[in-house]
Amino acid sequence: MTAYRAFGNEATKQALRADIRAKGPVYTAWLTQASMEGDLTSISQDYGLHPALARLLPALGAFGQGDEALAFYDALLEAIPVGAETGNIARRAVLLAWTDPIYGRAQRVEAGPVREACEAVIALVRQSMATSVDRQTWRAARARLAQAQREGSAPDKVIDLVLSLAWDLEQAPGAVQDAMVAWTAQLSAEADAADEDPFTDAEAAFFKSTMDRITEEIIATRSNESDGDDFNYEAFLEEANRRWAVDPVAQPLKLRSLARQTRIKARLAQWRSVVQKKVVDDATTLVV
Amino acid sequence: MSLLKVTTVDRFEDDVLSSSIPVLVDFHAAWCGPCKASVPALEDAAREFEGEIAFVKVDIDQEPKLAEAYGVQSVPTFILIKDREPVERFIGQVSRGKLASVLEPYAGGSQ
Repeated sequence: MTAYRAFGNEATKQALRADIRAKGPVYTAWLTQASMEGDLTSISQDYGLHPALARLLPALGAFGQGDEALAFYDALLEAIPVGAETGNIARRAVLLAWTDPIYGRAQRVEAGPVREACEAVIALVRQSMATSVDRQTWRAARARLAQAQREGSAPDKVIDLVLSLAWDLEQAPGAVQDAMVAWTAQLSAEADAADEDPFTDAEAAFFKSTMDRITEEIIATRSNESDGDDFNYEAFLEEANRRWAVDPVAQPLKLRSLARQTRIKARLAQWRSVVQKKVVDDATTLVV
Repeated sequence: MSLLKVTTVDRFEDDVLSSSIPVLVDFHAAWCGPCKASVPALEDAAREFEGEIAFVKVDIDQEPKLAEAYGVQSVPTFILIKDREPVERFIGQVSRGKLASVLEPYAGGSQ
């Protein structure tokens, strides 16, 4: 177990909460999309938060896509006592990806060797909360699961998620981010498949071909103009939206697609809210 | 110190083709977000498989001949080379789980 102790003192804790509430420099570097590529070592060093928790929180807050996560972050940091060890908050949070009665993946894997191999990984995650699990044991668990998957069948994305859980978070804390990204992708795909207004195959093909055509037209137009360096992503989107809007056949599909994305985001927000509440509740049980 | 070694066309023979252990080659570009986002997972995998699998990086803009020789059309592209031959190939941002499932059969001289 590592020696990370939360915050170090009350003033540091309150300064961090204030930065996040104001979406200050720590928030921007840590809890937004920037964290995907960034080194979060300083978060653990400066604030005593376990590296796995530091990696978990951006993913659990949708990488700053909206402001909904600000209240969660504030409540969580408030709940974590100064001096607490926070690695097991991260471990218990990612375990939900398997165990949660509504959103967990356990219910997506049928009984058999693959499920047994998944459960062996989950048992190791639980064991690692109390004692160190050596590298060869983690590796053997991953190898068993990969072998079971080759010989049996289970959704690849579920296997990828469980393989992401099978790492020593003292050595590879970023594995929690992998697990959260994989879990999000699966829930997003499920929400898409269950949506109330799906595209037919023909509509989906037409939508994709229109999107490809518009993209190629914009690229071709811009490559013939001299100010290409000023054409950023926002300008590209604006131009693409203009072209969709003037196409009477494609535009209704575009509007349906946007509505579907809104519904999927709402479902994901609901899931995040459930997990966030469980993480905050967990933090309130920490003792120093 | 990073275990991800940067290689070039001049060093490719020594770093990759003549290696006594399998080598995962990461074809990447400086402007590629998914390439940068893959680095932490690659660093962790490089530590996990140290001495069993080597990890090298090839910047496709600096080394276009290598990218062309291996048919790299998008980044990141990962190619595992063993005994001078590509044995695994995958594209896109990688997770530790994906790296483990692909690389572990080749670790420890098991294949």
